[in-house]
Amino acid sequence: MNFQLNQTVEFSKNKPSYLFLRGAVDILPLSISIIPWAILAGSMAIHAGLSFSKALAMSGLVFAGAAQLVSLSMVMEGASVFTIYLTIFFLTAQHFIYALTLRNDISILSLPKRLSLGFLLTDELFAVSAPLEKRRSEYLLGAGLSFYLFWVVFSLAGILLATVIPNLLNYHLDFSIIAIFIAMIVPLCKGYPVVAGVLTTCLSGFLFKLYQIEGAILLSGLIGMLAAVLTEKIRMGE
Amino acid sequence: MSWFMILGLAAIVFFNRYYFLEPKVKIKMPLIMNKMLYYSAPCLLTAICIPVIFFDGDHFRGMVNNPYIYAAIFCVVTAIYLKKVLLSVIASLGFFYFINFLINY
Repeated sequence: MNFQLNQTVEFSKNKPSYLFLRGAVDILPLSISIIPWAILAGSMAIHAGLSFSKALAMSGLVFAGAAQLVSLSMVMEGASVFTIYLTIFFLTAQHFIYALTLRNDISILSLPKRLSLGFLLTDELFAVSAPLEKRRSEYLLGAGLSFYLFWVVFSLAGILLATVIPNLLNYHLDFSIIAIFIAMIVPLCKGYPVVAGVLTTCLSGFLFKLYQIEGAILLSGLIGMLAAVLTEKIRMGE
Repeated sequence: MSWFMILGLAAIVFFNRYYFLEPKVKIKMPLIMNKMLYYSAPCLLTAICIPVIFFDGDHFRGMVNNPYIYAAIFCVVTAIYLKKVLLSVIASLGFFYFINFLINY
């Protein structure tokens, strides 16, 4: 009897609706900590002179916090369209690696699911998909959609309240995302290769940013990944 | 900002996200790249954190007076010992605002 009961519990844990909900819940800490950024992205679009529908389209269609804020400030500084496009391409280039990492799990899905997950594949969704067993389409869709909902709703709040909200940048709210990412990275650091990779990324990321090299995130990530593989090889050779 | 620009930005970001999810995109990955992907999550997430910890936009935050560094180290240590993501995040946030207060006042 007990055995049967356990089995049904196991089974229900793999049900699509359970996985969907589980994903939506797992990403909540990240969704909550991007609320100030969503508000900022919305209000900044209005301050940059965008109409209501354009401001909403920035969050609803581009759906990339850093890209939205950087492109808006570049528009205000009068940069050319080509420069802005090129900057945003490099700024979001780490997504190529996210897609490569998840390729085995997502490329086998139907076209609508693939397109949806592609659209929803943010830094945050990639972060929750790091453990192999979490890479189920329903789980990722649940996490991605709940994150998207937060982003759009709170961007809308920022758009509507653009004139009354204080400058959120003064409150250092960006640390909350860093704290969550660090708390997620630490459990992944099992063994010397990962530690070597992470430390190499720290050092190279700092230097690239200091010398204002385009695509610093992607480059330093790749160098760290290479350092991890080399460490693995050296240790195997011993 | 024109509609053309907004749709262009959306297309660029979507292209970067979707390109390698498309099965028709055939890739011959060198073996080393395959092995590197195994380490993509910790390295890329670290790569996202570093600029925020050390820089405010393009401006270097400094070392000694930078609460982000102390709080990031605190977060690493609590994550190692507490082994609970949410608990270490909340503790680190408290620590961050405390240090921030000490440095600014």
